[in-house]
Amino acid sequence: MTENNEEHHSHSIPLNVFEHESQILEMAETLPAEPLLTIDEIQNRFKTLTKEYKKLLRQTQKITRIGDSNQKKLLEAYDKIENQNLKLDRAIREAENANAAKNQFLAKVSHEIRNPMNVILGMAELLHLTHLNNEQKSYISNLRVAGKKLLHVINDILDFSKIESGLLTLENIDFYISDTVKSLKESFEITANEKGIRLNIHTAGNVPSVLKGDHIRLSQILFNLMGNAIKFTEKGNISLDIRRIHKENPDSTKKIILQFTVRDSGIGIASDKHSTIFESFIQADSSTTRRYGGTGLGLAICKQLVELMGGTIEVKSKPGKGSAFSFTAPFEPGNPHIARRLRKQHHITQYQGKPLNILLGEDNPLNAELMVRFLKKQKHRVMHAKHGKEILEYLKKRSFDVILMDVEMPEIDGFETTRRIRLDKTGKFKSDIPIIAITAHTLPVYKNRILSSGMNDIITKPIDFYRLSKLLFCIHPGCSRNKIEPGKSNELQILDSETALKRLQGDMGLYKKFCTMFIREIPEMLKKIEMDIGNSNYDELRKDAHYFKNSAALIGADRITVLTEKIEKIGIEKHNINNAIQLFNRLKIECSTARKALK
Amino acid sequence: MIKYKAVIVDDDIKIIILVEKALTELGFVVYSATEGKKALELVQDEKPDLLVSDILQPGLDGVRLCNLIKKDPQLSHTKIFLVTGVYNRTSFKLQMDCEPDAFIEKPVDMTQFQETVKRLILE
Repeated sequence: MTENNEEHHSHSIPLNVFEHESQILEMAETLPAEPLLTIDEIQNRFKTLTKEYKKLLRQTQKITRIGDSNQKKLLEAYDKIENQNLKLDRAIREAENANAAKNQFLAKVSHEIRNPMNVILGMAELLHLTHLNNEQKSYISNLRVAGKKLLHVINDILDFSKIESGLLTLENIDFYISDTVKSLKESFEITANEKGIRLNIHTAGNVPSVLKGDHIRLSQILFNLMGNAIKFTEKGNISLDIRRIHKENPDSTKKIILQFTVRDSGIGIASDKHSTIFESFIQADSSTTRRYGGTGLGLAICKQLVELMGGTIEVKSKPGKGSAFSFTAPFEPGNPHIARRLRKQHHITQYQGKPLNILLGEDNPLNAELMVRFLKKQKHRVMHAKHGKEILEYLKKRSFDVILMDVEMPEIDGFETTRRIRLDKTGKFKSDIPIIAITAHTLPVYKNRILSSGMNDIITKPIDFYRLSKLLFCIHPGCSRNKIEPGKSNELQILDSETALKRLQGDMGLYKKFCTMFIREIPEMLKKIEMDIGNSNYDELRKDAHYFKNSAALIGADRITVLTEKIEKIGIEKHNINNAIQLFNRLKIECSTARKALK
Repeated sequence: MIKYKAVIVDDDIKIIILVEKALTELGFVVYSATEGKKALELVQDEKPDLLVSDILQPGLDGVRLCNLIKKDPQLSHTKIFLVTGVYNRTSFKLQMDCEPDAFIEKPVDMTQFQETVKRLILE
């Protein structure tokens, strides 16, 4: 009680002091403003001042006394805290080191596993394409299923370490929610039927059909939850409900918040386990692992992904009665045009272009064989180089359309090989030949390094042959990807406003502004380029064409981009001005076409 | 709140508008120039957290600008992003002569650009 009083008392002192101080100051300030005071008045005021001053002095001394003893206590406390902080620091650093080491280990191990997995899955894929009898077909199908399962586990581990170390970034893509639902249904229908379980998927009417967000991660969460539901349910039914919820306090009115609920009538989870099942490597019951398998990472990944997306996940369950996992995730309204186009792109099933001359750089003989076989099946001509030196030698001997190159080769690796190709001055081959990197690393940092080293695109192991076909199709003349030499301009779009708009985060106002500015620039730019060609002034031609090219690229005027790029090249190489005249004539036509399209 | 500062130099006003928008959204105060010498002055005066420079531009080009800033100990905290043309060999050769903190490819994708800024400066 006394302690409390004292504390209260010591608190009130400083307040008093300030009051007195300000009183004194106020009085002092009024003194010179009133010069006509009597001696008595001055004496009176002086007395009051003195009194106040003494009071102040006493209080100050008191504070100092209290302060002294407090300071000593404080210093001791500081020392203690400092000591604890040091210990804590050390502990944190140790934990961080251990965690970093763990993540590094996981990344490395999964890399080592992905390489042979690539061969196993790829070979199975190839075998599947050959003539097989029914027995062989079923063996291969089992091999593929088991391989994919294993890959799934490895990806789980890799994902987990990526999320843990903050390396996982979310995509923001326009998509149809019905596509996500459809692939879920297709994937689980067979197993459900086999087990005699009913599978119901219901999307509420208030869910918009096109959304923008990371649909791959959304599918991953749903696959995990549905997979668990099927795994732990022997009879009854499984359902997925998707509905839109309106939060009570909608700060971000543009966001669409969806709630996904996966219900099953399976074994259920005891209530004391509800809080731990989302932790890593934990299953509700360790006997679960023995009976049902799994890494125990699935729900941990789900929780992390949901939280990364900005949602929450929860579970309601009773043993024997089944479980309901429900999570929320925010999305942006999607653009149906973009979603439809992305969907169409996804449907290019097989390589449909002309055969290409491909130079493959791969040191691992099994991987190389797999690639060569796959590419030959698609009618391409393939030369195989075992390392960077051989790639450079082949390039000098023959002409190729594209190089597929393993980044991690012995002697001269992919980075160095690319550097030498890009900087080549012998003129014996095209130094701008498209290079597609093949790598087993999946970290974004590494991908950035590959792209900034001058390689055009990346394929990760195990190789997704569907994606590889798509990439190769883009190298084939007729593709409008601007990263890879686009070939004939008349097969390109006049105006790819969708892609351009996407780069501007869908800001229509900004896009329109750029288009207006571009239209205004056209006459001036054409005049400049015409003059440069007339004067054979290659340096200016290069600069002006460069500027025009970037302006056109910004708004997605692809044909103009390609033509001006070719003119820029003439400016760089400083010959072939006649060619520039021809290109310029085409450019004029394209400019007026684009102008009409823009209006 | 501490505001970050950035200088952007490009002879194309459209790129300045775009980059300015992307950076303002991330809480930057943005100064702009359309030629290299003015940009260097701005960098020396403002000591920004970021310089976004085109490679080809009047006055000082991006590579020389980059090398001058990287040599100046007073500007050691200034990160440099070089904006390169549509995938293009000339700029690739220029890229070999200096060491910026990032390359931004034209046409600039705002989301990717903001992501790079977040990764290299804000975190």
